[in-house]
Amino acid sequence: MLAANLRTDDAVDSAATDAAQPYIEVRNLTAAFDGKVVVKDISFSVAQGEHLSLLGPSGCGKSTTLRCIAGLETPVAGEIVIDGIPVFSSTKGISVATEKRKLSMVFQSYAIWPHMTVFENVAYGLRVQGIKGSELQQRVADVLKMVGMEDYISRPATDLSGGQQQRVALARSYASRPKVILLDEPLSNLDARLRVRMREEIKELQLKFDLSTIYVTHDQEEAMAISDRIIIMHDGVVEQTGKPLEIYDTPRTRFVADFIGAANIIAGTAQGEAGNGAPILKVGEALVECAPRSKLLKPDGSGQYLAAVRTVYPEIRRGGPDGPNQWSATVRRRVLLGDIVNYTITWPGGLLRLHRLPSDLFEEGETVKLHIPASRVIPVVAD
Amino acid sequence: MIADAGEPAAVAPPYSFNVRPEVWIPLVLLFGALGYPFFLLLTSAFNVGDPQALPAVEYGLANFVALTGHLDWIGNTLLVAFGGTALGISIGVVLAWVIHRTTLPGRRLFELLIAIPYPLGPLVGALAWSQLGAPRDGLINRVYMYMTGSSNPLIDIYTPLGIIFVEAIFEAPVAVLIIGAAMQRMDPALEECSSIFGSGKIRTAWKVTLPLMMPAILSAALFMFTSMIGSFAIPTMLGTSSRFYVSTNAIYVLLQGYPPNYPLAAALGLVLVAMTAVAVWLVQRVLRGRTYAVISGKNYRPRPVNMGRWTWLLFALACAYVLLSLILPLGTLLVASFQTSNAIVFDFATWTLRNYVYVMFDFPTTREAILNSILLGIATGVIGVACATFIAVVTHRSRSAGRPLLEQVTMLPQAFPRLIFAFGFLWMILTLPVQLYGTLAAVLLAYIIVFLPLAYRGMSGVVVQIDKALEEAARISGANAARVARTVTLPLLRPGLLATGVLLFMVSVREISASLFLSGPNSPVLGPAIFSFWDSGGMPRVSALAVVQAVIILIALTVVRYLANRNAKV
Repeated sequence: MLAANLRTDDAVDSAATDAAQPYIEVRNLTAAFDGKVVVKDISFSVAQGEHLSLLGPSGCGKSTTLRCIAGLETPVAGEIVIDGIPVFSSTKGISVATEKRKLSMVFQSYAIWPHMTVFENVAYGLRVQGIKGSELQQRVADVLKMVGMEDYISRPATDLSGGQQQRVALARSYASRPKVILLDEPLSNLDARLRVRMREEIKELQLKFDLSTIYVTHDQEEAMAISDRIIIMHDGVVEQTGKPLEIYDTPRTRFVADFIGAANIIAGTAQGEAGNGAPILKVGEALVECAPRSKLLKPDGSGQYLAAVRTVYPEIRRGGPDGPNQWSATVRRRVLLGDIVNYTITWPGGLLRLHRLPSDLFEEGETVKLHIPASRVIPVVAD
Repeated sequence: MIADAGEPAAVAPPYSFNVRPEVWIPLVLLFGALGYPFFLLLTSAFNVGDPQALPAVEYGLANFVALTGHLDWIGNTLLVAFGGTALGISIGVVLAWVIHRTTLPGRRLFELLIAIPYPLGPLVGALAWSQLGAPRDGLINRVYMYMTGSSNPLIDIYTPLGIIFVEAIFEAPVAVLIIGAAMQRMDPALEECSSIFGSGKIRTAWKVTLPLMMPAILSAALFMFTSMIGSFAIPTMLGTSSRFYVSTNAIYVLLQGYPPNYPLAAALGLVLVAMTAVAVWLVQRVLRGRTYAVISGKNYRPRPVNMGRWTWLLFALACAYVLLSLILPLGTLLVASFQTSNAIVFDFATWTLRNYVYVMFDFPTTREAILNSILLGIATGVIGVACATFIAVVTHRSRSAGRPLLEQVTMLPQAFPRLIFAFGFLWMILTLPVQLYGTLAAVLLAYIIVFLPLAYRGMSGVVVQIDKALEEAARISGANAARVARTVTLPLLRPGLLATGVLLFMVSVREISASLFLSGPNSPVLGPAIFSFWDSGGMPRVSALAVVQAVIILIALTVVRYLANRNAKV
């Protein structure tokens, strides 16, 4: 019993450490547009069945990276391997045409062909593969049913709403039973409510088909919600790679801390080490102990070291015992947002923003005790 | 068709200046087809030796010096072009405003009718107005003198003012189209903002709308100006009797004279090219950086303005335009085509269809001209659209360097008055080893080149609207380049292909400037045939031929309209 358990753990571990061959591998990819480099020497891999998101602000090179994998852009340098087959290599002079890479892709604009019916749209890729007759009918019907569009099968594509077009686009990309699906900002043209529903459906389909997925988005919430792993890109380089919570809790750079969730960036000078060896930062008047086992990273231009403090982690209460990372503070501003309450407080380190629940309200001007747990003070690289 | 759908291409070296075949092949062809005739024109213009020699044996400026003795030709050209443009733009602005921005009754019908005079063309206009506005026996003057008992004519169309008037009313539809399109793209909030600040309707129109329309107005003005500088039919048919020469018909006379004075004609042609080049340069300079600053690509639904008591004045203006540019000219030609002699009589008993039988069946030259023109129109439509589509796909889809240059060179023929181009082109084909002179193929080639800017503009507008992702999605689905073109690109382009094709058909059928020198006795086409018929007299027959031309064009217009409606429904 115990042995069996151990073995399972082992298997899980080895999968997690990427012992299996990655399904897609990108090595040292560099891409340029009109002579301007937009992707700089990036490398990553996607395991079989893994959902990887490329997340970043517009112009960070995430879409270009995806389009290079699809073969819609030709990189300047690097190597792309899909299922063990190199589809692009600048050194070996390989560049396999898009149509031979056996991928599927969902576009930001859906790219539903307006001159065809829903059936024709979904059947297109299957027809290219030579599938005909009743098998074709059956497979199109099946995949449309999966996305809940079976009633629209003979509609002209132009009669569909945005959400319906999106479903047809998904059906079209699943119809040929691909092993990998590329999604380029698929939900950015939908309204907020539909976006949430569609991303859940995308996730379900991905799990159902064990699809390797690369998902490009600029919406951090979307990426956090459905990814196994996230790559954060900025100015054509990878800022950080990791599981969603890892990136949220331990941002590596100031950019990541700002881009994902809401964070306070505190800046100070190094002031020795705490008993557990964690660095101490002098922020204004306050001595702030950083997370255990952390190190201060590259300082900014004026020699200040930076640390990120998520707005959800600091605690405030009325009075209480003193201790490390605890200060007396004053509530400057309170903004009720409904589900959460935003506070701006003055503490010896300056100003700090934090989120609380509306269950325990503090008044503006009230004196409180602020506690920033040391484990939530994450030193970050200044960019 | 799909420029970048190539097979596994060699990997591009980093940041190279990479001009691919889909760009340089059309560039070289266009440079040859435009540059060589221009070069021949240039050498001839500076030829001071034997006027028939080609290439020239002696160079000098004598031809340009000789031109100073004929400054009236250039002055008249400028007078007609400036006057016609000013009047045409005024008509265009008012009509575009009426159609798109007012609550005038019958706006949609006006929009339809106002577009027609342009494709009907200058030949129809000149022929009709010479019978309407001739000082003694013009229909308008006859009616006027009959009703008032006066012995003085009301109007004289055989004057510079008459020429300007006819030029303006037949070019105005282009201005309505260009300015109207800009009016529809204008964000009405800009005007509403002005009204909120308390400006009245007139003040808003003057201070906000008009300046916003300036880029469109200037573009329309440039189009009209260049086309009037090169116009031939109207000034020739209305000006010759009073010895009013503009550059184009001066060139025609120089070439038809014996011996033909090629060098002087070439020098005059160069001056015309220089004038259009200056106009293009000036407009581009003014427009630089402000073309679409405030006009978005999106179609708004601008708020129509109720013009109150001005409504009926505007209505009368619109009616007057349709009457003067469409109903009266076509009616006059129709009536004239039923006559037995040049004098129009309203005695139905004498009216006859004999003239139609003559031009359509009995007289070989016109019979062939009609057939040839239809053939040429179809061929120009098909081949011209194919070329334009290829270039449009390349300029919008290819990754090659040099695409902006290709686009500019494609638009270059626009700055070449068509008559001058045809003159250089004629020389070019005479120097080629292939026997092209006097064949329909020569006319076809010239048509394709001179109408390329028009076709490119049409197709470019269509290609740019097709989301690139539609083609990419097909490739992701596993379709190769040919299959993508067949199943996605071409079906999506089809409405644009048909509309542009029919447009090319119409402008080819009505063309005269480009075919005047190129259609030989064995390859007659309609435009020059009408012109030479007019030259040799016989109003009833030439009117019948013009009516035939107009009917062909009206049928094509109906087809366009039908296609557009069908597409709008889909």
